[in-house]
Amino acid sequence: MASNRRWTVAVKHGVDVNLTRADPSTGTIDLAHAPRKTSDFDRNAVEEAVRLREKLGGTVRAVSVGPASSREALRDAMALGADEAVLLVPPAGAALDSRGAAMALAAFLGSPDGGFDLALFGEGSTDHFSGTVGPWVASMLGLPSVCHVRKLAVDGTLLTAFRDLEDGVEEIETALPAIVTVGQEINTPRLPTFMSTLKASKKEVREVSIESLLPPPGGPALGPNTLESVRIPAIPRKRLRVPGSDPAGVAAALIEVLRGEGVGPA
Amino acid sequence: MTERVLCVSSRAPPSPALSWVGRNLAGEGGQVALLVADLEAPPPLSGPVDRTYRVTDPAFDRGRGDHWAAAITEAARAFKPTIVVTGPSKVEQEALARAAAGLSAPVITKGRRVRAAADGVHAERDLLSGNAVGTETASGRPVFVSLAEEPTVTGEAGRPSSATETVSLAVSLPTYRFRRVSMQPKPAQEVDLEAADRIVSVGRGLQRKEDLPLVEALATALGAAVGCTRPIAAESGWLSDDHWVGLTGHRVRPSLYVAVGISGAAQHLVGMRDSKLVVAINKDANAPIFDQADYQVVGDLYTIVPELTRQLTAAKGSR
Ligand SMILES: Cc1cc2nc3c(=O)[nH]c(=O)nc-3n(C[C@H](O)[C@H](O)[C@H](O)COP(=O)(O)OP(=O)(O)OC[C@H]3O[C@@H](n4cnc5c(N)ncnc54)[C@H](O)[C@@H]3O)c2cc1C
Repeated sequence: MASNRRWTVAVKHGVDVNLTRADPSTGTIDLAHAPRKTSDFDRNAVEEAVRLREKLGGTVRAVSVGPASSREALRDAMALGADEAVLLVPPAGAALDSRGAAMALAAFLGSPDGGFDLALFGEGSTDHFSGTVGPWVASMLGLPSVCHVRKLAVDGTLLTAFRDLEDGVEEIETALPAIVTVGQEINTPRLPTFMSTLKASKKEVREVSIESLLPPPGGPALGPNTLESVRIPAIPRKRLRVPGSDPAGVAAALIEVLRGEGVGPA
Repeated sequence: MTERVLCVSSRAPPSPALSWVGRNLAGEGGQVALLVADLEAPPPLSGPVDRTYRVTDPAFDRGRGDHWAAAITEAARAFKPTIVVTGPSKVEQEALARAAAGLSAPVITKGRRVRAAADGVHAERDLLSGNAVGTETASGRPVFVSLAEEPTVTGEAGRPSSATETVSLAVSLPTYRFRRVSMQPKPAQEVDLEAADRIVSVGRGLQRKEDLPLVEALATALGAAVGCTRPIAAESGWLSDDHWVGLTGHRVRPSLYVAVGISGAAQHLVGMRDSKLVVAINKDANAPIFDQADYQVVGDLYTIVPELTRQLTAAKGSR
């Protein structure tokens, strides 16, 4: 059945926190030159959008904000099943923070070209985790935001979503178009196959310049937030292997150690 | 520089410590306003607040981020803050982002040690999923800030509060359809991990919920509270969220932390790295947790943990 439903997912090409190392001479991390990958929860958002398409038809569009290297995140999204990809490109040399990304996304999603039924975001990015982009975009577009969603369903223009709050899980009903943010609990993203990766590498990534979307001066008038003295806090650990050839021996040795450290049996 | 700080507390009653964060940011001669939704009784006129904005609209829902955002927007119009500060709750953070969007204002979320200076507002925060820390700076004013943790420190008691005035605030609430159908409450808080002196924490190395007593028995033998990784609480739901340690869970600083069947992902480590002594039990000799441990036990938790419990209990009995 033909369907014109539009599922839009925002994906960030963020710093790969597992591959990032500090400069040993300064102890600090140079984020501008750190290795990058798709932010973890954004992949859950893509998976959820693809599942919606599988159930209800329509098109999954991935949108990213960033320099040309952010195409990687869009390719990844297409390998996971997104049909098309749009890259919102900042002016050359411009630094982007969460606010700049949110403003660009809001401008695109609010343009005639950017319409959607449901837009899905990660609830925070693996590198910065500001958690602001989804609700910011919703606010700019005058739409409801349902954050920290663990399960959702769409029926016509009705969205039912279960959101995880500190003291409980709330079931929310709201009208589309709407914005949700999701965490890793909502699903397990499928593994891209060789074929899906190959196909994704051949699909077009459409570029839209942020300057064409936002009125002059083409972005936040205030400078982007900056990050200084980014470092890995060093906690010295002893890293001693507890000896013993069988469980009883290891347990006895560990109890000895704990006693010596002043944290023996209760 | 003096600041005009708008403090937003969605809690009922509002957090007094949050007002003190505001007072410290405002500086000598600065102004502090508190935004509350107190539909029944007026808030107590105490603490360091110069003015209280009170939402009284019966349609206001304190569980909704968009309602709070509407209230912040209105209070900001009246008070003209240079800094808006909220607590760490999910609803407060959503409200902060939605309200900041309306003013295109810079935001710093989950800040610690927030400082206001001429060149901007600075806050320390976790970065890279807790692998790193750094200082984030937002330039210009106003700046919107949420705190990483619920503040607890209140200032000197007895500061005159006579200057406090209360202003009723009319807000225009969103009109789109949005309904809370149901609320499945989480179990009441079982442990206070932040206060625990010893913690035995369990990860996905545990295969079944039925095996939890193994870990609980070890905790009892050590006089420890039980903690866990995110999957155990959030995915499997074997333990409630108050046991969850890490970036998106609790941040603990016990004198002893025993990690059982935990791989040592960065997002978990950030929650436990302030522990004084760390013991890790894992069957994989290359598990990253071992790099962050003082004592490493390589082995199967299903044999080590019961044996450890047995010997600890016996040692106790023979004292
Ligand atoms: C943005 C973000 C936020 C997150 N926040 C948090 C957070 O706050 N807290 C958190 O914990 N995680 C968090 N995570 C998840 C985190 O990345 C890891 O997925 C999680 O910590 C892994 O949990 P685990 O160690 O229990 O499981 P696994 O990584 O699966 O590790 C299980 C370990 O058990 C060992 N094992 C298996 N069987 C045995 C046995 N019989 N005996 C001994 N050892 C055994 C294995 O060798 C392995 O090392 C977050 C992730 C993201 C992306």
